[in-house]
Amino acid sequence: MINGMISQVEVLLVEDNIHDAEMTIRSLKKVNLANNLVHVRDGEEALEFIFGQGKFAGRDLVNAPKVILLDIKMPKVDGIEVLRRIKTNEATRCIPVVIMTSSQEELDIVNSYELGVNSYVVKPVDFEGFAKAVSQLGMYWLLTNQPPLSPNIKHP
Amino acid sequence: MGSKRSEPRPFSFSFNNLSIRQQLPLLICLLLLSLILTFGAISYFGIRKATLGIGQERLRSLTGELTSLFGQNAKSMLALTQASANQVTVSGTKAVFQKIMQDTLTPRVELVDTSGNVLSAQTRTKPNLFMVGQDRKDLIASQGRSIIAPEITAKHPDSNFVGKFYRLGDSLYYPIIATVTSDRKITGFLVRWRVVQASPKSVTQLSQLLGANALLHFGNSDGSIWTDMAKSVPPPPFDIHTVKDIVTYDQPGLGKAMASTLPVPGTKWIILVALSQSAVLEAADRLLYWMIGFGALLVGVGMLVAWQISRNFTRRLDRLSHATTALASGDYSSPVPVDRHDELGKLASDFNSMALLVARAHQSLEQQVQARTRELEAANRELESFSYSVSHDLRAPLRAVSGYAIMLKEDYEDSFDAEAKRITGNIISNVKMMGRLIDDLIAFSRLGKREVARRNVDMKALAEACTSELLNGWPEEKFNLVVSDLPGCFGDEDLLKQVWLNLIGNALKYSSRTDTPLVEIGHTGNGIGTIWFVRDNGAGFDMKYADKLFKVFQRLHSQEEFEGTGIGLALVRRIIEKHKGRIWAESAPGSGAVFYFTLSEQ
Repeated sequence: MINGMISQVEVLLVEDNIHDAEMTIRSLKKVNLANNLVHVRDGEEALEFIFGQGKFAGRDLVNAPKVILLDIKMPKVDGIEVLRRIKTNEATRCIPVVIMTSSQEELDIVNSYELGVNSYVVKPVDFEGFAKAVSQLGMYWLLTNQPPLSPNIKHP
Repeated sequence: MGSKRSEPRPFSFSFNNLSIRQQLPLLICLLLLSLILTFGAISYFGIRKATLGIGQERLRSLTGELTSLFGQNAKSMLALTQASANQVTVSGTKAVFQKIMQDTLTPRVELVDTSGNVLSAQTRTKPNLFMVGQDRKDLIASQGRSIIAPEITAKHPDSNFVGKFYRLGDSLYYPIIATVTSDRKITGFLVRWRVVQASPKSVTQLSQLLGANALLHFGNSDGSIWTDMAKSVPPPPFDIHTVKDIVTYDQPGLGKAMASTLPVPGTKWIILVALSQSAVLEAADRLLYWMIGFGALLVGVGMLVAWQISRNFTRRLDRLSHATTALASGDYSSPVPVDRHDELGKLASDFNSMALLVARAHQSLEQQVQARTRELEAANRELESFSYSVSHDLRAPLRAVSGYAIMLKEDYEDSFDAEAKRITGNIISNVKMMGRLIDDLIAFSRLGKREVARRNVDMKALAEACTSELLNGWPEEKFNLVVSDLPGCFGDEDLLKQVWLNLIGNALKYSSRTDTPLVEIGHTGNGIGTIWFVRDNGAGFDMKYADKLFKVFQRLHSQEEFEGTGIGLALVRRIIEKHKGRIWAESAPGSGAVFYFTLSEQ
């Protein structure tokens, strides 16, 4: 999961909580979908990955993830801002983004959909429900859904 | 409803109900009217009295003048007759009689002795008229007793006089009696009769003297016969002998009249002069009419002036009143013009300074309110972000606990003994419980800031939707569920759905342990008075704990009996309260429970 070593990134997991991340990865692993997964710890890192900056400088931008799993409440840059940057950029706005959050705040939901989120999922508190939701998500976005053709990402 | 609306009172006039604009002219009018009435009455009655006095004086002098005039007349007639009487001798009366009879108004002349017996007479017509006790056969004879005999014998007059009036046939006559003396001794009387017949000339003279509103009557001093010197008239309606000075009575032809009587000297006559009182009072009455006219004019002018003055006042008061109304409705920018320096002017300027103070106070209050609102909004935002944090930050560690417990169970269950398995199971179920608690608490706290968005709600459809949603978790055909026809209501559908979900969910939960669970959803009453209810035949509860039912975290059953967070009914009560309704329950342990609620349309 280090820059350059992955040829085809399928899932970009943006999650500051390592426990939630571990559980997400475990749940995806169970259905064998976590092989090409990148986990970044905050919004800044996520933007660096997506736009090939910082420690992800030089990443092949043609290789866009099939789905971005995005938490909202994160240090530095929050999920809503990341979503805005993705969806307002011509090159990245076609990448499917799924918000996965504990927040049921109406404002977050409304803002997310206005910015063009592809799905909004509230994380169930109990692990069983959580695992089920994550594996369903993974199967849908990686196997069922037809991703857009690889876009030509330019530096913003 | 309890509102007390004052009944419209029947109209009753009260001075205080009038506006000042009406009060002042009315007051001035009353004042003027009472003044005019008082002074008018005083002056009218004074003048009336004076006029009456003048009238009486005139009456007295008129009576005196007339009396002396007719006394003179009688005197001259007596003198003439006396001259004739002096020529009478016992043997020769014929020449005297003939001379007297030349007067056309004298129908008869007679010579009588002192007992009243007619010694000789000469008559133009109907000689018997003038006789009493006469044998009708001897009409031609001059013998007999004269009708004036009582006058002569009763008084034994020693001088001549004019006798009473006598009604003989259709005419009135009076005798002029002169003594016939012989040797200085009265031996008889020469009686010259005259008919009462005023000449047109004298009538004209009299009426000129008296005027139209007066009359002159002659009568016998014993009151027996009355005449106006042309014909016989009815006697006055009072006793002339008791009249001292002036008497007032109703005289036909004159109306109310005042009269005075005096005996005519040298006669047996009395004259009565009457004046019409209304004629006497004419001047006073004219004054009265003038006063009424002038008074009405004065009152009219007074009212007009008073109305102008009060309008002048009330216009200013109206301006103040308008300004006050404007002030009351929040308009601080319309000062009252101060255009004079009297009390009203001072009031206006005081009002303006008050309005300024009020405006300032209002402004500072507004600022305070805004500041408080800002503080409150900040506090609210803080609270929101707190609940946001709680919802987010409490969930994550909980999910981690849940996740790792399950991972532990999944990865190492094979090496666990029974106790380790029990403990792991307890961890997992407790975490689940806490997750539900957090979710419910968030829902409950969110309800606080939620506005009720009312629209028409089909309660039956809503209750049925909730029922089928809830029955999902239960084996088929377990419950006997009855949803009767429910009336619609005007409320927040999302919130009312929470009510049904909680109440029906509770009914299912608490009746699920009975053999034949029965849940009824129905209503009583209609419109505003509708009461909805959910009835079950489940575990029920003791009514002495009924007040705890709807409080947060208060439960009447243990988690082992029936699981729950203790928030559901608190949430329901909050929703019902937001709809300005009421919720209550009836139950007994083991015999089911009924939950009732009402909603207000406003």
